[in-house]
Amino acid sequence: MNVIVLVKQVPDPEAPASQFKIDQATNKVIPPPGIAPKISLYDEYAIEAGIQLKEKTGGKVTALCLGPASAKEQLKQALAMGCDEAILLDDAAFQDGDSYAIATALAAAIQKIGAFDLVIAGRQSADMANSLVPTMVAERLGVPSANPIRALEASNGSVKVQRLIEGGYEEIELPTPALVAVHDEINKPRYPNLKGIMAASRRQIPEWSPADLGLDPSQVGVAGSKTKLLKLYIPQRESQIELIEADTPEEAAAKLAQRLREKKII
Amino acid sequence: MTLASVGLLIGVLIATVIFARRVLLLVRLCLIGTPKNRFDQLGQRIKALFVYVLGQKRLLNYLPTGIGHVAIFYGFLTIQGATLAILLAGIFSSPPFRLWFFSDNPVFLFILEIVEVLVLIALAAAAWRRYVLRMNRLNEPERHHGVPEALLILVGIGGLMLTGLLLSGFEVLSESFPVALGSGAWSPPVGLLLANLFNGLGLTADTAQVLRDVMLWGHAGFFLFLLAYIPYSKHTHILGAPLAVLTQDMTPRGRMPTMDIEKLMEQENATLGVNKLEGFSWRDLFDSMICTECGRCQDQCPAYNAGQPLSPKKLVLDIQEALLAEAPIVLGRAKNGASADGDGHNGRRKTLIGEIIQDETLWACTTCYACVNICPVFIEQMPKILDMRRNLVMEEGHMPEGAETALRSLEGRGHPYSGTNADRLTWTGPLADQGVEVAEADPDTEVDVLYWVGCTTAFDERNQRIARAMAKIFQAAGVKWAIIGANERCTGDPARRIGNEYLYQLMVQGNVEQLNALKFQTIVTNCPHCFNTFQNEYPEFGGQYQTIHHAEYVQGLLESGQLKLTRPLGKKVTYHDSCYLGRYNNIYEAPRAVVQFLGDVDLVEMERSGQKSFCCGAGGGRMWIEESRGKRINHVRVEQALRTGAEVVATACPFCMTMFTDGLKTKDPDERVKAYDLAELVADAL
Repeated sequence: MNVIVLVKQVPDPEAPASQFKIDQATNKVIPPPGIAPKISLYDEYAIEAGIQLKEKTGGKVTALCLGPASAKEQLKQALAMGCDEAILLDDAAFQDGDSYAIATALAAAIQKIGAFDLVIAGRQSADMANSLVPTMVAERLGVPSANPIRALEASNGSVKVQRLIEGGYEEIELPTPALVAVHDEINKPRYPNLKGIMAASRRQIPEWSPADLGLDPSQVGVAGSKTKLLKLYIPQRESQIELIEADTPEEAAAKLAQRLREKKII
Repeated sequence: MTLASVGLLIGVLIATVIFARRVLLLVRLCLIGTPKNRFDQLGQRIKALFVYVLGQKRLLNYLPTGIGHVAIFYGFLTIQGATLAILLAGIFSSPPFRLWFFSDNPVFLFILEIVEVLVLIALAAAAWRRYVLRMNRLNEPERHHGVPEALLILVGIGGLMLTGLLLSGFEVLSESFPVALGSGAWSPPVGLLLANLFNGLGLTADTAQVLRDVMLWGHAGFFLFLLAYIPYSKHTHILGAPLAVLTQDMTPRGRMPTMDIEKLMEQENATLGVNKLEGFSWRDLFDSMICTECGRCQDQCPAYNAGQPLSPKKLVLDIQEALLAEAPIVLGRAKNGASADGDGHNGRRKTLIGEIIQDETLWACTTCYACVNICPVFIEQMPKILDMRRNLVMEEGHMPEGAETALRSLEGRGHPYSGTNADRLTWTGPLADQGVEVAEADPDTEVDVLYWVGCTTAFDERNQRIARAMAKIFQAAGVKWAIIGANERCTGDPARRIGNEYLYQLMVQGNVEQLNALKFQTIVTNCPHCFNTFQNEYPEFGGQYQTIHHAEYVQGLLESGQLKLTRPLGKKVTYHDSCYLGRYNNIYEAPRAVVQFLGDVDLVEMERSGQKSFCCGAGGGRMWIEESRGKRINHVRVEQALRTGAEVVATACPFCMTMFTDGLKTKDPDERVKAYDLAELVADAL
């Protein structure tokens, strides 16, 4: 089974809050200094799901990423884990696109890669969390999709998935080629072994531009976007402290319970 | 030649063949291991023979047991002279064997008898400990398959001594013995005593003569039994211990062997770390075969004492058992690869990690070094564990979740603390209000002290107080100091001890590059793990720095008067030795001296302190690995601290601090006892 995994580079979600900054003028996140970006959380599960499918059914896994040149590090991690190929869509024209523009580029790249049985993505990115790209890519490719899934089983010509719904899951069968987007229940991403890391570090990762995809620069990036980001900001959190004073713990507990009720918290 | 001497000769030959066959097997099994040079620095090694074999230094770390061993060791050596004399006399002269050579020497005989009596006493004590007290550490492993190995050895040595003494008694009584000494006839004292006793019982000289011959045969019999049996038993150590002492690890304790990863990667089928018996070095295989099963390592092991799935003794014996069981296959003597032994292996080799040694055993180790430190025959238990971890991590990618999270965090963030809210400079926040300035090192300004804060001090809220105390100390002492700041990175110690040598080396390279660009006299750190890594491991990677742990640094400031304390502590204090400071780097005195400087202090020791200190439970990556079985190691240690009645537990390591703080929350809910770092105690007394 040939699998294409979508991978996104995100700022380390664990960067200390104090180092998380936004350039108000450009509405862009300023990457925290000295803290390396990472693979978006769910995408690691997508990579693992792809490799497990390959291990079971053969075929190959290609990791595909739209991002800056530094995102090669994330693709190398995907290679170290066991992906066979990695491709980076890197061009100034791709920058700052919305989900629609990104899906346009990714879908074009997938078509260029050629025959595939399954595209696997993370259910949403760890930074923007729109959860739009996977479904849009499926739409562009004209293949069925399921998002978010917690289990995946491949059989000849189809995949059976468990899709999370409120309070449970439903089982769906999708004819391949198809696209699925995974939740973190699906597996436990492997820790790449050293041989994988060393082999990945020597790999050249091809970079594709819009022209390579047969797209006009106006179809991708800001120009190809349907939406416009107006303001990106760090929400201000305010906290107030109210000390409950009482002579005995019992009295304090009673007072606390009453205050919580007044605030309609309990 | 008489019939008796021919019989004796045959006995000697049979015993020798049985002995030699086994020794040869053991030697061949050692040689399947990988090479390791343990014959450099010969002078030091030979000196060690005097200290640890003849001097029995490690044995005397365990009292009173050690004294018993000294008695048996010297007794056994002494009696070899007499026994060999008896055997040679028996073979080469007519029966009854005439005593020969120095066994006719009254001084030797006198010493011999005293020694024989001492050995018997020591054996009785040994039997008492094993069969009456049933000391846990002496539990016999499954390998023995019900053979009472220890009993056989006790009877063997006891028989040798007893027949020797009785021989002397019958000899005196049969009047074949009196030796002229000066003017009067001289008889050996115990022999004389026994002769009088037998005489009182109505034994005639003729009967004594017969019994004397019986004793001679018995004596020879016990000797030949021991000769044949020793290499099949835990008493192989008699043969192997001197070689083990000679080939001990002479590199600094805190330096883990470096892997040449690039070279390994060039090889087609290179194994990273150790995942099969023959992946161990010859020295590792050798030492697993000379384990005496004394259980001192197990007795010292914090994981074992907390009921966790690790006994260093069992680990070594499991390797030994597997090695012997798989010997036919390993040495290529199994026929058709089919059923090579009757041990349920069915010709299939067991996997080293998973079947011979369990994964959870490897992850239970805190790398505290107590096992290697105590072993009288210099077995290297812990390094085997770390070699196997390397394989699990770098080849299999298998490790406990906490270890993996720590490694991933080290890779991406340069510190092992995933999920922290702090950044590297959070600790400096409150200092501004206290008038303490913190400067960041820059390549153009030389400072006296580069204060290496370390991740555990910087990211843990409790430990940030230690960093602030250090800042106050530097300021009070008028030292020109700086920190690296936001760009400080982990030294790599956790990566290396968890088993990711590759990541470790990457981190070292980054740090050496950064440090070499800065100008400073000394690195001072309050973390023994960082200290150990700089001190013992960085020089190999081009990082030569003068590094001082804060215990010694503060001691120096106090002794020189650069730092003056004005407020006596006035409390009962116990000091907890950090493994990486104490056992790894031999720093025991400085922290205690600092405690004494605090003034009006009653310093009490825990039941386990100094080189036998009990680990807090956080070393070797255990800081990040959940304890799944048994008790928590830090709880066991906190209980030991509480039993001293001290009000303050002084620590000199941020890991220990975290473990004590957590442990005290559970074990001392009334907060009667508080844990403080030395730096905090000193800063508070300024």
